[in-house]
Amino acid sequence: MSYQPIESYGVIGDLHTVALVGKDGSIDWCCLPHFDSPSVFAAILDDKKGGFFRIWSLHEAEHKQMYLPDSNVLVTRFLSADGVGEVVDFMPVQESGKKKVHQIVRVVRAVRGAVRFRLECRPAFDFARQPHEVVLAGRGAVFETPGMKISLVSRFPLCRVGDGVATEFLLHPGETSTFLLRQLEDGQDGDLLEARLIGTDLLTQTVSFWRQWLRRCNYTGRWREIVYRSALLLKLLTFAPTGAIVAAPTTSLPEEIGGVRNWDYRFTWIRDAAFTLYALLRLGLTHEAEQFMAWLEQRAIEGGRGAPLQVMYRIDGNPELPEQVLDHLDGYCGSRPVRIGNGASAQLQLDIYGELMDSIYMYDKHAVPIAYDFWTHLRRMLDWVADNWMQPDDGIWEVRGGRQQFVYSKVQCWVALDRAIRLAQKRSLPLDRHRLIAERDRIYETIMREGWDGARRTFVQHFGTDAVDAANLIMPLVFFISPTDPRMLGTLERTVAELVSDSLVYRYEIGKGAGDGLTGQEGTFNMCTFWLVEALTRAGRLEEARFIFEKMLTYANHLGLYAEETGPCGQALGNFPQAFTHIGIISAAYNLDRKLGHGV
Amino acid sequence: MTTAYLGISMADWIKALQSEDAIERRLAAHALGELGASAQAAAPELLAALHDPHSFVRVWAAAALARVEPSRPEALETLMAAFHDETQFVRSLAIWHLGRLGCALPGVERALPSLRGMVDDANASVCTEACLALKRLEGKGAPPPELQSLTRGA
Repeated sequence: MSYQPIESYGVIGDLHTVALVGKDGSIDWCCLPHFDSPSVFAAILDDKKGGFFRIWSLHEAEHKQMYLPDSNVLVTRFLSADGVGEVVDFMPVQESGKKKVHQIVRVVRAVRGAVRFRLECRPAFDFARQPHEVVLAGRGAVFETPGMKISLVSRFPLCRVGDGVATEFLLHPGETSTFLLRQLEDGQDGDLLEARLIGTDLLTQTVSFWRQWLRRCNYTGRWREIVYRSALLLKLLTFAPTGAIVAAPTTSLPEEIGGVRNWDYRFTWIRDAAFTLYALLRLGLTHEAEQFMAWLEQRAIEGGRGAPLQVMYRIDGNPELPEQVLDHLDGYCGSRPVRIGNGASAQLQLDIYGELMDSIYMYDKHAVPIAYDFWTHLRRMLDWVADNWMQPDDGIWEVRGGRQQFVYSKVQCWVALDRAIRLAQKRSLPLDRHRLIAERDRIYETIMREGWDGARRTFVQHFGTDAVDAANLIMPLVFFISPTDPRMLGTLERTVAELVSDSLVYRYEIGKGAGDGLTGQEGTFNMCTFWLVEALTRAGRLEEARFIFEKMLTYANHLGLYAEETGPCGQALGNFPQAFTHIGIISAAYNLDRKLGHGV
Repeated sequence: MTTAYLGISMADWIKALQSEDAIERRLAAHALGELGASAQAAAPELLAALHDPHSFVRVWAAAALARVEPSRPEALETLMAAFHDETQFVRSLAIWHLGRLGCALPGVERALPSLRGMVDDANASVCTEACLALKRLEGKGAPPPELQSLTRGA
């Protein structure tokens, strides 16, 4: 085994967890039973010890991948002169209320010619910290470690190889064979399955589930394919029991190969809430928006008890995310450390109140009016914002180099109060309007005074620096400033000059402005590129916006998926696939398409 | 000529056919079958394995023998006998193997009437495998029509 490029993976999932499937047919990442559970396969973090489940053609073959249309059912293809083989991978989605069985179904088939395949399954439980036993059984194998048991059902006899199993088999043209990997509940022996029948039924059901779901998406603009793929991905990253959406399903895929910026993203950021809700509502996916809002409401109620909101939570709402370094893992291509948990959860990031209130405002406007009790909790939270917006914080980029007076954080505090005032006005809800209006205006004046560099004609990253920050591109998007205000146009120009490289946007200059306390470099930040597209769109610079957007589309992988960042050679960097990036695509595609109208 | 399967030599797989563990014997039979004609030295042991106390091992040994020495009639006899096994899984397994062996197996047309009788079997797996096997045997590369007509009423 060796490390595959991050962009070489596709993703399948069952709304509780996902698996990453490489173009080489290897499942190199899967946590069971949930996104934030310990891993069963983690070869992306250690190609020797991490564990994988690979099925591939033994012919020397070209590898391709595609999704079955309008679905999250992945087809990995092996093309050679001798024959063409395919592996169809999916995780069945189960109806709510039923006992959950988490399983990966792999249907292998020879499409043309006879194809010899090899299967190797080598789980490594709990990030390769827990040894396991392998028991070969009549219908496959069972892998067992304390607290976890999974079975692999196979028609072909499995041979124990080390702490895994393997088999080789020849399929004739048109022939298929189905393999099931499933987590077993206590008492289940996994020995009663008929893989072919179950697999065929589940494939039909799974394709049908995704197609029916996607029918609710109402985007009809120019970029339907990538918008649909983004919507399918957002749904795939949703934890069905709570409606929470993980930022990404992976941990510690590096922002620089060999670098140290390796974080665990298998959690839900409050920040992403506004952007997520905006994207869901724009696509007409109100059920998902309602679910997500219910999750957010719980967090806001907790925030209303007097303590500030936490930056991120577990998908079940648990606020405990202790960060731990896994020294025994090499990290992707040697990118160490590998971290699980996220220490940034304890940071003070004031912007989250703005993003939360913006999402609530939009939800009230476009989906369901919020309830009085919820509003009561929000008022307490807003009081806290009015009292604390002037505090220095750790900022949107979660820098670990000390708190600053970040302009973006102040803008979002302004958004928090502004949306609350608007909402109270619209719904005639009780609010200490005079106080909040006064604080909102104080924030505004402070940003215009302290966050503006008059000499360089740009808003800056934080008070007292001359460094720019791509996060400030959001100002016109949240209606803080007119997109054609000279201050915004100046900021746009300065950002393009200093942070944009070949249409791609760095979030800030490492080594300038607020440091993150870490060494090394990082790639361009995909979400910022989409913010640039939106800022240009709103400024009326449609040709530039469209060019950058279209160019950005070329950095998607073969399946239309993006990581958090893009490297200088176009490679995906950071956790993958990333919700934030796809949210950015949806928003930019929607707004740019609307501005372009029905012309060319 | 391949003489190893999963890095294990043919000689070791032949030895594994004598294992006390039926799962291991089944694996050995599959391995020798994957080696195909190059495992002709294993034919006597595979023939012996057709009398294994476990019917699923017998089926795998028969399928292997059909690949190693297709001319031996015992392979087809064993597979057809398994059509009547008391375990549904073994019945399904035998049909699956027969379908996979396809028209390359001499005399396979003798199994067609039994297969046709199983397309309505109460067991879903048996039924599915019978349909798939028939499709394969009666479809592309199937015995010529005249032979099919001779066997259909048998």
